[in-house]
Amino acid sequence: MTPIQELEAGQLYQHTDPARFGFETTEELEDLDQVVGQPRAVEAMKFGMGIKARGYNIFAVGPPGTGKRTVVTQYFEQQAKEAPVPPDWCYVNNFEESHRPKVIQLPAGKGIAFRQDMDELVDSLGTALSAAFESEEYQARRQSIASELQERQSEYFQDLQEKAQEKGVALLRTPAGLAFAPIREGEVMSSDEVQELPEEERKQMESQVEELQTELQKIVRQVPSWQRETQDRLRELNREMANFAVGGLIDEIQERYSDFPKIVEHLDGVQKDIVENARDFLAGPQQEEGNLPAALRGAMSGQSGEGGSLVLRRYRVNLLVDHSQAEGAPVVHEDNPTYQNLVGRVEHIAQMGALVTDFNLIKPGALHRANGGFLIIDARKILTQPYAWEGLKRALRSREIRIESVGQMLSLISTISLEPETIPMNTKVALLGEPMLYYLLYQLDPDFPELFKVQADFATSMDRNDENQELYARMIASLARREELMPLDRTGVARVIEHGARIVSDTQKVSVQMRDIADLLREASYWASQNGHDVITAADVQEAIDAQIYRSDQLRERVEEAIERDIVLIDARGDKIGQINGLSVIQLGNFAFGRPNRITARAWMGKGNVVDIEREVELGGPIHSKGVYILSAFLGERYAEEIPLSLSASLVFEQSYSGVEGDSASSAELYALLSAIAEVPLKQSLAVTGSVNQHGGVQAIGGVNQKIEGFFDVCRAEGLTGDQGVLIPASNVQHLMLRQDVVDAVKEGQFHIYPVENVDQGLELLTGMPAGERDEEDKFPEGTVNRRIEDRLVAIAEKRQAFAKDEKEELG
Amino acid sequence: MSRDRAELIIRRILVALDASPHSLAALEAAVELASRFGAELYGLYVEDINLLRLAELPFAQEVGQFSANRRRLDVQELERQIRAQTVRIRRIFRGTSQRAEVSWTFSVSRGRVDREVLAAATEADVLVLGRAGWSWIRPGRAGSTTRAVLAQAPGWALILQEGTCLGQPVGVVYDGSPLAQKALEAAAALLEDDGQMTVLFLADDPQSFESLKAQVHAWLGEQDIQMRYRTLTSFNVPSLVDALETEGCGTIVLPARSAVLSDQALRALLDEVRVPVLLVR
Repeated sequence: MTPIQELEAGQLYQHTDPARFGFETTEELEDLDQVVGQPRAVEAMKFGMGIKARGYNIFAVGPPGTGKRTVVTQYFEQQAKEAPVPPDWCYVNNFEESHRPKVIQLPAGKGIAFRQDMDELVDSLGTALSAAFESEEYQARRQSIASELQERQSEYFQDLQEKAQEKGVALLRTPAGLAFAPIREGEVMSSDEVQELPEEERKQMESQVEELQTELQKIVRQVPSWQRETQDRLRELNREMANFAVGGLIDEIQERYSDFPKIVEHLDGVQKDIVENARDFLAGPQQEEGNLPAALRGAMSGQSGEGGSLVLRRYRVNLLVDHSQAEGAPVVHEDNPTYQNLVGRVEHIAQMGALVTDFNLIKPGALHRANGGFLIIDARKILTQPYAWEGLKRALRSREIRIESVGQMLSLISTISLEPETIPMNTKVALLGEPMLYYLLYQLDPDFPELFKVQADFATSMDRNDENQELYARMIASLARREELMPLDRTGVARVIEHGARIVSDTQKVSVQMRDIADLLREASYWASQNGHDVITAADVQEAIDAQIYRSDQLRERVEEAIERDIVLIDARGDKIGQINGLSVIQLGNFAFGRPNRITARAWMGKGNVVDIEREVELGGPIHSKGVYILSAFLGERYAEEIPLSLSASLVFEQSYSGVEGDSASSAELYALLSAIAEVPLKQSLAVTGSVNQHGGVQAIGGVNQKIEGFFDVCRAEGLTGDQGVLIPASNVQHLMLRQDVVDAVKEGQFHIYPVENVDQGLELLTGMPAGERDEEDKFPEGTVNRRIEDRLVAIAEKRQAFAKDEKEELG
Repeated sequence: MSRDRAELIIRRILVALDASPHSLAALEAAVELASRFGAELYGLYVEDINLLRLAELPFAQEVGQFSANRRRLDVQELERQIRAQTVRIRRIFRGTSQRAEVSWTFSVSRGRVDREVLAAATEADVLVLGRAGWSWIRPGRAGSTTRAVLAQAPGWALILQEGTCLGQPVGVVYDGSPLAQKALEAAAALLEDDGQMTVLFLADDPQSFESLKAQVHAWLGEQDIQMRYRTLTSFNVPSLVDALETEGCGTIVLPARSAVLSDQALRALLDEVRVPVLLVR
């Protein structure tokens, strides 16, 4: 077997050489107008914006901080600049069905003019109408109609009275009506006088009175119909006058908007309504709005500042979307995508304990504002708002915006509300969200694939090649300029790129999670100014990184302290049988650190099972258990192919109280187990990480940098002995971006990092003995670790057989 | 608002009340006069004996003013209705008088309305009354009772119609008679501050016009009154009414007897004019 070569210092950290950059500071670099490291997402954006078909909305998928919002906004804004300005939308009163306001579409900028025209009309209505109704013509005609009624009435009464007088009868007024009385010498005849009359005369008188009464009844009965007739004629007169007064005003506006049939039609409605109600609003607030209680009317006309009095409000224009100041199509970010903020709402005013509303109280939502343009919404936010997601989907599916309250949508409440006419919608929507949300929606919501057909997948890293490093430098330059930070010199840029590689734990890649990079730049700029620098240097960047770590590594310090004070037992020197230093990573927010864990193994005669104590007490996760099963399979295959595995063993993470997950410790567990079986001590100066497969191969794990640094810190605290080090999987070498002090220790031979490919290499390093390979007789050579293991297993198997025989005999 | 005029002393004002809108207008005007002259206000409601007599007749019936239903007219029922009406009128009268802080007396009598009113009027300086007891009579036309009372009223009489009140400017018909002189005084008393008096001269030739004007000037003396003059050469009713209407008079003061206008013409004038008319005797 080839002896293992420890890694050299140069392999532990991939520097970016500042000398490779052709600039002194980022000041010299031009701004970058392209997006770095997101070719797939950019392609998807271009496609998604270009395609006009239904359902091609965009879902930008990527972890937070990958620049989704920036990229989407940038591309939308570029496209929006060249797109036409979408139309204005107004709501106006529907005179036939006032609960269904009508919508009017106008070219951009015309909406505000229309509103102005209608406001002016409303303002001049009062003057025009009062001029008409106060005119001599109107007064005279009105008087004549009114007096005609009176004359007709009095004529009839006069006739009747005269007729009565001829017959010696007078018409008298009683408190409740009218009566006829026979008269003698100007006085009503008394009953005695009547009695004294001859029979015939009396009868005649009675019949005369009877006759007159019948006639009186006839007249009185006719009075209401005369009054109605008069009312009709007065109404007709009012109509005629009002028509004359407002006709000119309305014709003028109609002419101006003759290209818009809907406005012309609406104005006809306005004219008709004004004519019908002209007298009402001349008469003042107490006669306004016939279908509302008086007190309510008073209150409303008092408060309705924007619309004037209640009667006049209905002629106004509610300009819902105004693009008069717009250039190009709108790009709208809805930061609070509640249902109502999306689809708009109808507000109510509480009046005398009742809720009232009209079309003037319709308020637009983000869908209105973004209509004809682009809308950007955070997927998580819209999904956490009740009904907002459903509302958005409905609008996208039907391609129209319907304003409905949630209560109305669910038929929960039925206060007086409006059903405004729907507005056709043509909006490109982009949702921004994490991959998890995208895949969950795709799987669980059948509408989702229909409506969001374009996936813009954002990457977290890009290749760290020469070309990209140049681009990265320019991106850093534009970022610094945009954020008004100090420029970076080339050492600073190089250090940022190196940190970018460390973030993704890969020498070949560099992070494109712009949030982290931007944070680093801001903080480095702060430290540079604290240090009195004009430019950000590598030292400032390093200070920012150190400060970031210091701010979040209190727990790491506690752990280290506990080890130093022997509260957590870790040996970093000497030899022990069945005991080894494993390595684990603890993730705290965006800070991760490694620490050694003591793993111990025990072996005894048994039925051939390996007990994972973590699993038994449910502190081990499934992946950890998987690793343990794999290593017991390796054990059986390699050493007990032909003999029964008559051994039981146990494995445990000592002093671990909060659960273990992952298989990165499986190689360490295997070494501890083999040491326990072979009774060969292991060097405690070495820590181990790496998972193992059934053939004994050692495989890559995550967090390799943190793990190495974790063990290094523990060793350094106790004092480096010169033989301490870490065994890592050989395939993890490409991920090494180690801290400078670790690199320096390796350079000085104080610390060692061994890339291990298989278990035998590890065994040799840990035991200092050769591992041994099977010879022609299928035996491991004497004096090897493997031989000792096999011998021990055979011995245990034989002992067990002997036991079994004894038991049988005893039973027999 | 009023001018202090020693010549014009009005101490008692009688207002005849029934339930008609005309008489309510009369009440308002009477209260205003009373408060202007500091006079005592007498309200009189007459229970019409004729009605009670009618109710005793076996065949007496009434026709509802709105329902047009025919009902038997019963004495007791009628008494009750009259009582209710009295109570209502008394309440209105008291309320209106008290609001204006006028000292008042209200009395009820039973008899023929014209006679009772005339009897009460003998003790009053001014009699105020509505044009008619009911509103279906032709506008402007005085009711028969009102006519009868006016013909015999001993003192001044003020006649009002539904919906009117003492208005400005005050028009006065001047024919040079002593009564006309009194009418001038009365008109001046009705003027509000800055109010205008319109004098209609009845003169058939320029000379008499000049002499009438001179008389008015003499009467005017130092008084600061805004005057306006107009001459009428033909003394018929329509031209007089036309003149009053074109001048836009709010109240008209007429001498009850005129040298140049017949009594009949005066009565006809009353029938045609809609604004309040004060007859001066």
